[in-house]
Amino acid sequence: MLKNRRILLLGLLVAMVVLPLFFPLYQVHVLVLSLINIMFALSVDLVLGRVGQPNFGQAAFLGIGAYASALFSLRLHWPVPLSFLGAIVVSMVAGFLIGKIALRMRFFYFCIVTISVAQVFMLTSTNAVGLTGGPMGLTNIPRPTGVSSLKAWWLLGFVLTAAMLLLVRRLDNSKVGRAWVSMRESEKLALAVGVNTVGYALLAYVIGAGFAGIAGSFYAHYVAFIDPSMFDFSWSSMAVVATVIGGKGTVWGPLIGGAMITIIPEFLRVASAWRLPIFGLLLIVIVVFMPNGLISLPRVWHNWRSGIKEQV
Amino acid sequence: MNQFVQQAANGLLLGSIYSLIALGLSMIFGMMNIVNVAHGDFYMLGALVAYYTVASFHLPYAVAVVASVAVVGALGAAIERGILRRVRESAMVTTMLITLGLSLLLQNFSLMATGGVPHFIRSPFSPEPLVLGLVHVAPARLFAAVFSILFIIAVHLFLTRTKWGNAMRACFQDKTAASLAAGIDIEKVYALTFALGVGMAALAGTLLGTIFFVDPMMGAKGMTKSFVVVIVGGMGSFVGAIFSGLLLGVTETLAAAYLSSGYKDVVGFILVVLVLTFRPAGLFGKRIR
Amino acid sequence: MLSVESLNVYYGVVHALKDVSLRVEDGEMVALIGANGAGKTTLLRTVSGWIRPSSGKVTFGGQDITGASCSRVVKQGVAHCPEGRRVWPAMTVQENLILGAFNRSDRSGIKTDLERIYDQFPRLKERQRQLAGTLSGGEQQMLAIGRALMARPKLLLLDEPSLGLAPIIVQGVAGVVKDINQGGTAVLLVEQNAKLALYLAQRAYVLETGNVTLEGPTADLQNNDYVKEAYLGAGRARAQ
Repeated sequence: MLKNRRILLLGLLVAMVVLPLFFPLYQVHVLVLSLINIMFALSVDLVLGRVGQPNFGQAAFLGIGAYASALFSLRLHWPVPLSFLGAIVVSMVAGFLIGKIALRMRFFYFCIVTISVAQVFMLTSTNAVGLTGGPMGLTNIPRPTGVSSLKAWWLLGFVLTAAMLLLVRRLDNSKVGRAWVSMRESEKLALAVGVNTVGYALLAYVIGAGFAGIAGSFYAHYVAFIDPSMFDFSWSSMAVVATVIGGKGTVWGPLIGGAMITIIPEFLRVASAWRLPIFGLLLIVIVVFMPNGLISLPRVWHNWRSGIKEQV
Repeated sequence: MNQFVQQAANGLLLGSIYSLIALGLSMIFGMMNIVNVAHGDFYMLGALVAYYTVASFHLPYAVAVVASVAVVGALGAAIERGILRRVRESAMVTTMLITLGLSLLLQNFSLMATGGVPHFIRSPFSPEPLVLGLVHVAPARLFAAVFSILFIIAVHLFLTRTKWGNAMRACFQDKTAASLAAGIDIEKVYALTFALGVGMAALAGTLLGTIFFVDPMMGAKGMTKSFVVVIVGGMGSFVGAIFSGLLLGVTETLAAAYLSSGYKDVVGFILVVLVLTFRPAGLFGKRIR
Repeated sequence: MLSVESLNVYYGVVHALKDVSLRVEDGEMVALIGANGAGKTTLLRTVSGWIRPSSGKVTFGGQDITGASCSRVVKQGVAHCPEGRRVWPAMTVQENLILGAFNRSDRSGIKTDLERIYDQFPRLKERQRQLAGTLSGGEQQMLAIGRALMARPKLLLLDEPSLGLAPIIVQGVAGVVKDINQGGTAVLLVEQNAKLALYLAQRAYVLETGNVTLEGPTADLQNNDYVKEAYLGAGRARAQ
C-alpha cells in the first residue's frame, strides 16, 4: 500500500516535471511565475504558519533578494550563480537583523514594523537613483549561462521549489518543527517547558527571509527587469492570501495556494481587475469557514460525510 | 523664521486629521482587540463616497460629509455583524487576515469603480488663503482641521457623557461585567464601535479629499499613518493619539520642507523606531500590547 | 419565581452541570454552597445567559429564559453581581452605578434609586467622583452590589460576595445582603463560606462536581452530619 503510494507520487512528480515541457510557451511562463509565488508563499508561511505572527511585509526580502542579485550581476559583474548565492546571504543577514527587532513584538506591532521595513526599502530604492536606478528600476539583468529557454527556467525553478519544500518538510518533522508547533499553540506553555521561543522564531524568520531572497533573485534574473514595486504591499498580501487559502503552517498549503493564485486567473481568463477583489473575498471566506485552508478539504469533507462536527 | 512658522502651522493642520483617523483605529483595537488592517481603505472609501455625492449627485459638500460617514459607518456595522462576529474569540492573526482580505476587496473594487483616476472633492471654500498673523492658510485646510478637532471633542463627549458611550467604555474595561451586571448588549456595542471607528476614518477622508487627490491607493497611506500615530501615542490612549497625530503632521511637514520631500514618509517610521526603543508602550500608553 | 430544570452544561468535553434543578420563590434567599469548581458560578452564569446550556430549562416569572441574551435576562428582572466584583476600574463610582441601570429609561426612578443606594452605602456617596479602581475591596463589593441593584431586580444573583474580604467587612456585606432580601428582593447566593450562607439564607442547595447532592431548609442542613463534616468544619480545622 505504502509502496504503491510512493510509486504513484513519484510518477506524479515525473509527470509534473516533464509534461510542461510540451506545453505552449505562454503556459510554461505562467507555471514559472507560479513557482515564484510558491517559493514566496513558503517563505511567508514560515512566519505566519510557524511563528504565528502576521507577516504582511515579507516583500522586503523579496525585493532585497531581487536587488542584491541584480546589483551583484550588473555592478560587480559576478556570475549569476554567485549573485544568487550572494542574494540569499544578504536576505538572510537582513532577516536576522530585522527579525531581531521585529520578533520582540507581537501582532499589531509586528505587523506595522514588518510593513514599515518594506516601505522604507521601497522608498530607498526609489530615491537612491544612482545605485538602484530609482523608479525606472534595473534592466538587462543577465540570465545564467545555459538557462536560456523557458523550459530550462521551468526545470530550474522546479528543482529549487522542490528543494525548499523538502527543507520545510525536514524542519517540520524535526525538533525545530515540534518547537514551532508548541509555540504556535501556546507561547507561554512553550516557554514554560523550556523552548527557546525567541531563537526558534528567529530561525523561522531568517529561513523565511532566505526563501524570499531566492524567490526575488529568481524573479530578477528570469524577468530581467525589477523596480521598486518589488517591495510593494501587494506582493506580501498576495503571498498571505496564497498561504491561507492553501493552508497555513503546512508544507503543501503554500504549494496549492501559490499555484492557485497564479494559474487559476490565467486559465479562467478573469479580467485582471477582478483578481484581487476575488482573492480578498476568498481570503475572508476561507478564514471564516475553513481556517485550515483547502488542504483540510478532504478531512472537512470526510467529517461532514460521517457527521462529525469540526471542533474549532 | 516665517517659513518655519508657516510649515509648522501646515503640519498642525494636517496632523489634526491624522489624529482623527488614528483615533478610530485605536478605538477599534482597544475595545474589540481587532487590528483593522483595512482602516486606510475605509478612509479612502469615505473620500470616494463624498466625491461621488458631490460630483455625480450634485449635492453640496456638507451633505457629502454626512452621507460619507453614514454610508461607511453602516458598512462597518454590517461587516462587524456579518463577518467579524464569527471570529470573535479567535486569535488576533485571524482577524488581521480578515481585515487584510477586506482591504484587498475595498481597494480593488474602488479601483474598478473609479478606473484609478485621481479626483478632487469640490468644496465650497475659496482657494484664496486667509492671513492669520504670520501664516497663510487655505480655508479648506483650516476647515478640515477645525472640523476634525470638533469631531474628536464630540466623540470624547459621546464616550463620557452618554449612555451608549459609557456602555462602550464599560465593555472595554470588562465586558463580562458589562453583560452580566448591567445587561449591556455587547453585540450592539461591538457593531457601534466598529461603525464609529471606520466612520472617523471616512470623515478624515472627506476632509483630506478637498486638499489632496482622492484615489483608491490612498488607503495604504492612511493605514500606515494611523498605525504610526497609534503606536507613537500609545495603544488605546485618547490623548496619545491626538498628540502624536499632531507630532507626525508637524515633523513630516518640516522634514519635507527642510530635508527632502522624497523621504518625508520615512519620518513616521523613524518616530516608531524611536518610540519602540525608548518607550515601548508609546508616549501616553500605560499598558503594552 | 426562578426555576431551573435539569440543566446540563458542557465546557468542551467537561460536563460542568449535570441535570441540575433548583427553585427560588418570591422574596426568598436561597444559598448555593459547594467547593471550588463545583459549578456554582457556571450555574449563575447560565441563568444570566452568559453560558448556553446544552439541555434543560430556565424560567423566570413564568417566562422561558433558557439561552436568552444577558440583556434580556436583566430586563426581565434578574441582576448579576459577579464573582470578583468586577467593577469598571477606570470609571467613577457614580458612572458604575448609573450604568447598572442601563436597561431602564425612567430617569426619575434611576435618580431616586441612586439616592437610595447612596443612603444605604454612605462610603460610596463620599467617593462618587472617585475611580472605582481606587476603592478598597470592601468598597468595591458594595459598589458591585449597588450596581446590580440599580437594575431594580426582582432576583439578585450574588456570586461569592465575601471572597477575599476581611472578616469585619464580611459582616458588613452580610448585613447588606440581609437588608436587600428583607426589602423584598429574592437572592440566589453563591458562597464558599458555607457557614455564612447557611446563616443568611432560608433554603440551600449543595452542589458537588456538577450535581445537586443535598437540598433543604438551612436549619436542617446546618444540623446535617455530612454538611457539618464537609462544609462547616466540625471536628477538624477547615481547610483554608
